[in-house]
Amino acid sequence: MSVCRNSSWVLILLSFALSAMPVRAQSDYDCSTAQTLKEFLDERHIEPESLEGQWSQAVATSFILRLDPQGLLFTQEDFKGPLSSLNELESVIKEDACAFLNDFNDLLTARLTALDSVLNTIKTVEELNAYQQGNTRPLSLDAYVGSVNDLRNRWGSHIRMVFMKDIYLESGEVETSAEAQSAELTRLLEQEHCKLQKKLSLLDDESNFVSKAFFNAMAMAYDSHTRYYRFSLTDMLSAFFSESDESYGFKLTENEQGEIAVSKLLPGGPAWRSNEIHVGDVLLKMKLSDDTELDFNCISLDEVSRSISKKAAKNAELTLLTTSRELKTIKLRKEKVTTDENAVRGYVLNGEKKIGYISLPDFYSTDDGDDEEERGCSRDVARELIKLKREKIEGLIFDLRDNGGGSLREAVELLGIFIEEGPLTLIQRKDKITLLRDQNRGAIYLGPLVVLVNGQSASASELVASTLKDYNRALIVGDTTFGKAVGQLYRTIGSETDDGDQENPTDKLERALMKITTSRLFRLKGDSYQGLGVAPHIYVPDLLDGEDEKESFDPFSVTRQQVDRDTYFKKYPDFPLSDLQAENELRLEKNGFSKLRLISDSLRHGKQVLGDGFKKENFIGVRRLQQEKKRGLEKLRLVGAQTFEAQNHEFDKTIISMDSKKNAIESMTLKNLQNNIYIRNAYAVILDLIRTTD
Amino acid sequence: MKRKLLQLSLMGLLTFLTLSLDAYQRKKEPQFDLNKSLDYMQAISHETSQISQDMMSYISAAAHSKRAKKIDKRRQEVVGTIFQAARKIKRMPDFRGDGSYRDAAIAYLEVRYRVMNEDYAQIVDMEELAQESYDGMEAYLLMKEKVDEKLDAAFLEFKEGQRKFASDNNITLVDGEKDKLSIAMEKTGRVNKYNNQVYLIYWKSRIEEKHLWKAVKAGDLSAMEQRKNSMLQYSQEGLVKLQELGGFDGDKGLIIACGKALRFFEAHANNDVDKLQEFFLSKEQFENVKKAYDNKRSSDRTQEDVDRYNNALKKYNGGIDTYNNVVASTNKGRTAAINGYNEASDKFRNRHTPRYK
Repeated sequence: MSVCRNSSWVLILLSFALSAMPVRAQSDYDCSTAQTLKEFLDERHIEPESLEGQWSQAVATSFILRLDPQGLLFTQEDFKGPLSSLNELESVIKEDACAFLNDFNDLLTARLTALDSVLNTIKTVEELNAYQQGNTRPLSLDAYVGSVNDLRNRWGSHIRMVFMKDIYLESGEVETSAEAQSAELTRLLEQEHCKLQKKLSLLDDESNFVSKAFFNAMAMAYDSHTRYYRFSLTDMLSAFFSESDESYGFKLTENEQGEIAVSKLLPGGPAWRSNEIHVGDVLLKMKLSDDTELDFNCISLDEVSRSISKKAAKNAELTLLTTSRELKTIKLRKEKVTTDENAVRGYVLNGEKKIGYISLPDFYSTDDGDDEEERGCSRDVARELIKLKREKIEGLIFDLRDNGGGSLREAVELLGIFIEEGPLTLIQRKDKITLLRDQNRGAIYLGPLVVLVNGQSASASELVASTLKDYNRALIVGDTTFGKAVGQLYRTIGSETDDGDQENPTDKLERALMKITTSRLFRLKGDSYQGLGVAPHIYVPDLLDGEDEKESFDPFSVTRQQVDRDTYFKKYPDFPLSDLQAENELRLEKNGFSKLRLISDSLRHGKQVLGDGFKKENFIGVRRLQQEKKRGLEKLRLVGAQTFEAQNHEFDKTIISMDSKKNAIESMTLKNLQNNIYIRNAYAVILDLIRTTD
Repeated sequence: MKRKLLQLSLMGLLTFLTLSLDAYQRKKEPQFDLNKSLDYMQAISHETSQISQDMMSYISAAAHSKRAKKIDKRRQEVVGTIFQAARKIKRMPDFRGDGSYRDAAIAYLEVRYRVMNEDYAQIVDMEELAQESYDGMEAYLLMKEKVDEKLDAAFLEFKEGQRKFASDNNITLVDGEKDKLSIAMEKTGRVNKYNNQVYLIYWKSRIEEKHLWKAVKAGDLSAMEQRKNSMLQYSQEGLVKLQELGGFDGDKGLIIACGKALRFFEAHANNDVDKLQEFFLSKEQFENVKKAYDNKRSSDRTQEDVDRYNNALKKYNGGIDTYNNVVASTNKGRTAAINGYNEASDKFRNRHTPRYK
């Protein structure tokens, strides 16, 4: 059972006891896989009834939105003409008429080729400026343009938007010379041409791109957390990270837009520990220690992997596009990471008081069902906590920011660390509701506790935050969480024996993996945070200015329900909330945090209206706000920089002092902890908490 | 321990057996004229009171005998008596066209039969689970309460039938003096209740200690810490509860023994568990230091590295000694605590459970 925000690396409880469903590698688009998938989803998904009567429409929408999220490829005319099969998908599949995917493939190829040819018509900046109106992202099929002719404008406008962003937001100058603009346009057109070619190559090969995209769209029509994975189970279970080599500790994949995206993080690895890079983030650029810059915009996954494995990439600056479409630059250093090391590390924030700090980016579990020596994150957290208690900490900050979830069992066990005994959550599978209780009586840590969350803390993180909140056990600090109160199970499709059929090698069956939403989680009083998130006690807003990616913005999310349960549990004493909130607001006002929030809001709004007439002043306005925000953040980092000193605990100190590489990495980590404005604020909050409850 | 639980599980089964009519001796099968209302009534109460006597005999055997076979033989005797009694009552005719009193008695005996046969079997099954957790033990006791409630309800219906029969036939029911049997049963009920209360207090800490050592064997620091904290909490809470509970009819033997056991668990949590954890942490530390040390070329190793390695090794070796000492002293202390409690419990029941037959 896993509960996670996205397709993170969770291998927990992979169930192999499945209905064996052969999924045939196909080139002729027969409907057997689609039929089997539909039956599988209808039988196991938590809410198949939500698609009743609108299955075809939902799958079609999911399919088109995933393949063409910006509305650059398909038109209303297509949906009535060559893609009309989309309107009656249910019967198409029943009647085994999946050959329409061939037509789809052809149309997609033709459109990508046509867009490429439009690039050739743009020779100068003036020609590009002829495209006047910016595009808005379509959220339904009705929002796609009417005809092919409109696509040309849409595509041109898209290129113009990218160009203007490059010129006004990305370059170092406010006013760029005509020559520089022309050079930038040439570079951009080449880049877009390359991207289109890359997408065309995806359609060209035998990877069955369209059919796999269709299967995934089918899955995601049930809800966005239900997935059909393009890679096989063997891939999923193979060792992604070599222990003998140094690495950043992430695995990359090519997403459906042909972008290079992070598909998995190795717990305890450099990427994991930075807590700055997450599954789903798109890798755009890499700057090496010798100042070479590699652009990943249009190169193949193999090429990217080769670049990353180079020696010069030992220290690198990576530019990423986050899932909320924010640009982010982070520094990473490769290291050897062994899986027997504790992926979780505890720190002491030594200031007015000694406060422990533990960050958990993912609820990982190494349980594959047979491993008696399994070590999940709850045990690792507990181990670090025991070490921190020996440092005589007076409070603990448990950081779940950007934690997209993972193993439900680990979340439940983790709660047991902080709660002595009692019920923890309600889980509904089909019609059966089960109360999950703390299995181990007794807690490990009962002192003052702050749980740090943000808008990307999802699923298992939200379970932990909500239960600790309901018990009054922890003060929840940060922004309202993601809002995912549904759980998934991994299921393989296809049988093992089929996979190795030597007698009929041509009849080889592909084994794939599905993640399927099979459960709902409820709080102990029967309500749910699905689509709502968990509101913090102490509000410290995310300073983001990208697009909102929370569950409530997802058209395919599972509906929120509540159950009639009123579970009895013994609460801890109430917090002096009004005092703590007042202190916090005053602090945010004083140190400039609140002002930064306003700037971020303006920035978000400014970005949304950039396409309105492509006005230069709008771009310059956004650029000004970006710079203002950057300055504000720098200033905020300086305010109270001496609040505490981040230190390793005694157990880690000895090891680190013996290893110069680790020493360098840890120095960077400690510095980051000290400089992090959210952690610093959490430190202030926990001091307030200790003071007010003493 | 299992034997004790068996006996505890029967607490309450007796409570509602005594009827207010005169008790009949079973030495000689009396003859009843079933056309006479008083005889009709006495015929029924004769059967039910026989069951009461068998039950008491069974409870007494369970309390004073260590022979499981003998105890189970007595249980089967009770089941047989109930079966026979029900059969006899079923054969009785209606009394002047009214069979309601007889049917109420049959319904009551059927419930009793099921309790002794089926619920009893379930209770026995639950005993196994009760050995594994405090919750299991609580559930086990709850199950017994439910069985009592079931009997209670059945008995009330039977009693109502009896009252109605007496009233319809102008028989005045008089609460007789408490006979020897009912006094014995009441005392047994009190003994069991008290014994149960003390046992649960003891068990709450004891089971944590059991789980603690499971965690030690698995090297699971997290579970160790949780069990340590709960064992400490429950033993301290238990000591307070024992004070509140006081002795049984002036006998403080059981709570004194329980208090000794709880103080052992408390001291174990306070003094030993950290040492055990220290051993696991020093082991982990040594392994990490060794790895870092081995990864360095010998020419790169500094005197500080050598010192760190030696220190880690020294700590680890020290940890092994401490671990072994803690294991030995805990085994000794635990044996003394458990034996002390069991002996006190045996003594308590021997002293206070009435002997019958």
